[in-house]
Amino acid sequence: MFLKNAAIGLLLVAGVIAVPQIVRSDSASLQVKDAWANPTASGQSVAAGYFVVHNRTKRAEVLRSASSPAAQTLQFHTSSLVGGVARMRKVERFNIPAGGQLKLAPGGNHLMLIGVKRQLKVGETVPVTLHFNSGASVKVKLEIKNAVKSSSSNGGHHGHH
Amino acid sequence: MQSSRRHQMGAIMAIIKSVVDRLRHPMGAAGLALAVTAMAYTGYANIAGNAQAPSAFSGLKLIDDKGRDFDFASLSGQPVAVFFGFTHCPDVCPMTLHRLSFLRQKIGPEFDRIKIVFVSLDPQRDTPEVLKNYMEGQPVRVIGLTGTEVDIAKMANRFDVFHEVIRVPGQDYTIDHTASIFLVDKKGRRSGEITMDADESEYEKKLRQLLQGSTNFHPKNQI
Repeated sequence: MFLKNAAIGLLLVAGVIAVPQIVRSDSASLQVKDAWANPTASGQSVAAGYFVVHNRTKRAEVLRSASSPAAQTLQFHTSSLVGGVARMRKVERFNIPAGGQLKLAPGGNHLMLIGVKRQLKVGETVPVTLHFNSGASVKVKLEIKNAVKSSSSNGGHHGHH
Repeated sequence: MQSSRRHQMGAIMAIIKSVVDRLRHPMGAAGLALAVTAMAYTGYANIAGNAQAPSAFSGLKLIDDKGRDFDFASLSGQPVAVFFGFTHCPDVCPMTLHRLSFLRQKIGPEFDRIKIVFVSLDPQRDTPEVLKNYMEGQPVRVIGLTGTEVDIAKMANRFDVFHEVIRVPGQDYTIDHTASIFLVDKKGRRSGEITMDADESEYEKKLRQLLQGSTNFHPKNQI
């Protein structure tokens, strides 16, 4: 009797564990790479984060929100350059086609961390969870670093639509 | 027009006469130097249309990151790169600063002769202290300036910089602004602009030209 109960208990536990595993296997085909953010100055309350999402699933995906314990609010923004004037606007979501990718880079689409709770210093990481319309969520760590040369020289061109 | 030209000719003739007189005088050499300077000045005023200010920065008033009145005269004799932004600009402004730091690596120590000036368009949030913290973390040495709304607007107008505060839901505000770098040569003259979407080779070319303009400067051309 005891053994039977224990076995049922184990099965239940296994079932509970299995649920997040299903989610995880789903989001495993949504791969997030090259996640980073600029360091902030002392007292600076906003920071921009960048990453690349590869959608290896067979259906289009929508990145609808992001959350992080490091900031009060996370939004998606896009910068553009029109007639020499840089503009930044909030966007509600990013679409990622099946088999396609979403690239966030300086001067274009980016994650905005608003109400950053502490100074972000080079070498640290910031945990961020990305939430997708399908219900999948992916945890990433933004590496705090200064822009690398390649992303900076590409950057200016992302702004053009 | 005709009479003013005749008036100027008269002034030049008077200077020449004084040169000739001074040459006979024991103080001839000093007098000659003065007269030549005066002539050169008359010539310059003519070219510049009499009222033109000699420096791109003349008459401007801003404060530095220690809260002191910034001495714009300290920029004269130096090549200067000016750009506008705000410290709560997390995406575009760091790009400009990082590009400058890449160019510093490429051009070498000579790059440091360029005075880089960042003018805040956000006096409300960019106090001298905030600016100081922001500048300290940058990969290149930058003179951070802020000021009153009126003084900043005057500076922005001088460089034809567009700026507009945009309210953002869930965030205070952001500022649309011209993101170019404006170049001013060692004589305080505007000498070009690098737009945000310029590629690295254009940045390098224009910054080298700015440096060269001040290196190959010949005394003969001096005003």
